[in-house]
Amino acid sequence: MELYEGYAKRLYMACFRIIGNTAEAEEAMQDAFLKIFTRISQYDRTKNFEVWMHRIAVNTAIDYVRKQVPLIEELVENRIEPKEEDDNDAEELTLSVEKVKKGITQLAPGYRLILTLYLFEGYDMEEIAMILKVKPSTIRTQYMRGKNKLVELMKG
Amino acid sequence: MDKLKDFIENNKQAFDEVELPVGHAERFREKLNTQRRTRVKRNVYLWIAVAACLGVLLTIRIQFQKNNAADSCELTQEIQDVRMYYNMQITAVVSEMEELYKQKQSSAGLGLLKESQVVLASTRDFENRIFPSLPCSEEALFAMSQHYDASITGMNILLKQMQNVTNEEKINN
Repeated sequence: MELYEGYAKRLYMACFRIIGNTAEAEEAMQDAFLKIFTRISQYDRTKNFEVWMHRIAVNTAIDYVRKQVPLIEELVENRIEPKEEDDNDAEELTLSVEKVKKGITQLAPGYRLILTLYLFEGYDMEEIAMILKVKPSTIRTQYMRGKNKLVELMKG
Repeated sequence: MDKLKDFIENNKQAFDEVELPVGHAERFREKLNTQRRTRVKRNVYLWIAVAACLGVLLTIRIQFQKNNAADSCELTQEIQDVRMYYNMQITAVVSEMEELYKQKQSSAGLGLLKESQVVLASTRDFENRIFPSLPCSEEALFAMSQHYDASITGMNILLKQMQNVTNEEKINN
């Protein structure tokens, strides 16, 4: 339980941002801990333990999102390049923590996942592409579209 | 230049202010206990199956040791057919387990493979040491079937667990 108490908040936060609701985020976080406990012998000691745990939590949360929507189909189908000028909207908008938090929760699960992994969890586009098993170019396009959607939500 | 990313990084602390749901630790403790109970249960079933195989083997050995060596006889065609039938089933289960392990290698899967070798070894031991001295009787055929049935039951439990372990590994990855 020491490990759980020490890292529960950090992993819960990642799960909550990806899934977008508290009950499932708690389930995913706890499932991730059960996986961590059973796979502890597989942990490579040369790597950062927290990063290893975080990756398990992120993967578990993604599995929860996949249960809600066919995530990959959504990502592959929506591959129209966003217009260049759309991106300028984010520069003009006055940002606030509350607006961003609220906007993120209102996004479609696919967009929310990519934006969360890139903006909050510190993954780059290539890593996200590897996690979601799609091309990096798809992730970049989806990120731009998701960001524009977020800006629209924050304006509204 | 990504204004949104910069804004989030500059306000990381404010974004990280999330409260864990009330009672989460208690719920996790309960989950943890349930998982432990399930594991213990699985291991008990496994050992019951292995013990049953060994028990049958021991019973047959004692029974045949009582018999006079003079009772030994040539194997009937029926006994040979039964032996072949059960061996094919056992081999099929072992192959399926090995195939599942190849798909998703894990320490749990390796443990199950090792357990299957224990059951297999007891069957081989039965065939090498007791089978040649079986008398030509209905009782011998019955005892032989009992031994193979117990082995196959044990192997099927292991196969089921291997399927669960493989599915879990697939879901988790």
